[in-house]
Amino acid sequence: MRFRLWFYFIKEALVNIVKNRVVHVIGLGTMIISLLIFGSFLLLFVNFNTWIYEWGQSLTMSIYLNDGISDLEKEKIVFYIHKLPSAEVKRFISKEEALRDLRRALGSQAGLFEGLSVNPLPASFELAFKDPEGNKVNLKGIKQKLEKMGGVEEVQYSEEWLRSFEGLIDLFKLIGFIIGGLLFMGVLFIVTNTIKLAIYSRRDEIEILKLVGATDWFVKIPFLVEGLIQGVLSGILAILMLYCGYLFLSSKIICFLGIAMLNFVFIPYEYMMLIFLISVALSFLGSFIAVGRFFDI
Amino acid sequence: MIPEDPLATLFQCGNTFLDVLRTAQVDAARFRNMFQLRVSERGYERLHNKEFSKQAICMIQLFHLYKNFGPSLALNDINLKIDEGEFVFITGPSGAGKTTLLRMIFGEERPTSGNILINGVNLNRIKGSKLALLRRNIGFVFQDFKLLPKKTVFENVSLALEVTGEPYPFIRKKTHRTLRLVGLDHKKISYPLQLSGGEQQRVAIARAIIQSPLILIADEPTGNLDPDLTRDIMDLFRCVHSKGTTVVIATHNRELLKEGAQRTIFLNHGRVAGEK
Ligand SMILES: Nc1ncnc2c1ncn2[C@@H]1O[C@H](COP(=O)(O)OP(=O)(O)OP(=O)(O)O)[C@@H](O)[C@H]1O
Ligand SMILES: [Mg+2]
Repeated sequence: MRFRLWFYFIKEALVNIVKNRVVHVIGLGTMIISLLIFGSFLLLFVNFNTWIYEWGQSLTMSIYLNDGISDLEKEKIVFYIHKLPSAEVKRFISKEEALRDLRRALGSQAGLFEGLSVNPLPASFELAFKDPEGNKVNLKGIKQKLEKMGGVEEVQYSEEWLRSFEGLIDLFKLIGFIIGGLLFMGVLFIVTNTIKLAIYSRRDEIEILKLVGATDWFVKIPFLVEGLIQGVLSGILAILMLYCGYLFLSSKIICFLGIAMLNFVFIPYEYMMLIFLISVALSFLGSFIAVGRFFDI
Repeated sequence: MIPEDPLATLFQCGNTFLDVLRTAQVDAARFRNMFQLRVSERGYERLHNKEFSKQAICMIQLFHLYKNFGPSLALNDINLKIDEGEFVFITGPSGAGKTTLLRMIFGEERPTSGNILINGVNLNRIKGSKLALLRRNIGFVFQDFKLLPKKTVFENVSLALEVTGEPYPFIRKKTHRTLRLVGLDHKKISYPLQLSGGEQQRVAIARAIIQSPLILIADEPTGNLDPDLTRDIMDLFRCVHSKGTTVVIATHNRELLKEGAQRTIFLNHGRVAGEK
């Protein structure tokens, strides 16, 4: 008997959807667009994050040495660097090499250095941090330690650069929350309205059902099912469309840049579930609100 | 006083005792089942009830019933008692409060003050799903039929059983039987608007009686029917009545009232003005 009732509810919901198909298609379309906007944002966010992570893997640090550094001090520094789990000495740049690099970089302007009696450039170690797990390597701590060691003049690393990206990611998240919040309110409004229209279009039937002894829930559940179907459909369709868009875009990126310079990935499984669940939950909530608010007819 | 045949007396005593027991059992069942009986069982119960319980049971009781619509008083201190199995007419001039009274019995309208007891259950005390269960025990033939134009005759009638969650084969069987009873078996795939007024009336009656209700209420059931059709419809009500259903009909059709020696309650300005 339970089964029979659910059969009835789903049948009623489907009949309802077919009867009000225009309203449903419009509602579904708007919901899908909202979810797509949110999904694209997620996609952008995920990729942005990966790119930063990848760039973070090639973090570099320059340790500038005093001119009068002793071999012992140099060895101490090398020893310290080797102890760092993720750091690797890329190369040692002597004063002469530094000057040569600079000259090469300046090109035609290199004449500026002609007649310079002392080389003003310091020797340095170039470090690379492999696999620093995002931004978790404490570059600041390393810098402070190194600067206390003898023979080190200054330590520079791409801190500002990184910080600004971190700030950007935070901004991204904030914008995501705001856009998401607005979109979800919109989706809620759409579902509530769709179900409200469905209820209004069947008010005669609802009245008669109540008069022949239907309980409130018996009358209400088909509308909840209707909302739920809309949520499930729009969730699945939005994810599929997002994937199609992703396939299209990723082929374009590869075409433009030859080799895939940017590793363009799709949103992970959890985010797909998130989009789907948000869609289902919102539509259920929306129909619940509609059923609660527009039922005294 | 010595009984002639002690064995026979003993037998009789035993029988009486059994009768009392059965009555008590039926009463308990009736109390428990008033709101949750399956339709298929109810006819059975009523049959037994008729056999074993001799005294009439009060089906509808109204105590000091008042109903205001704003400042106007639609019902004014109504006291009424209708027993199980009665056939009652309620009549009176237009605006006397007939429809209002019927709607109160049906739980569609709440009294301003006073109490309504249906089969011993106080309507002031029940709400929500209990009210729905009460309505499954009261068939109501509305003045304007309230049929769904986009559903077939069959669907309109079976709707009243759908809401109970009965299995489909049962619903189908019962709907066919009820349609045959009102003589509309051949019109079951028509839509209400394709039917004549009298036929629509019969669809409305079929929907009202399909749940085998304890009470059948009809509001102006012969409103604009010709005398022949009126007789047909009244025969239908008598048929339902003969199966034990309490029937209450509101009408101002004088012809109807002349016909039988039925109990008739006169309403005027919201008061019981007389009774026949
Ligand atoms: N929903 C309502 N709102 C306001 N007044 C109402 C309402 N229902 C009924 N009334 C008033 O209550 C009084 C009784 O109305 P009711 O419909 O019960 O009369 P009736 O006896 O059924 O009349 P008729 O024979 O014309 O059907 C009337 O004066 C009517 O105006
Ligand atoms: Mg009336």
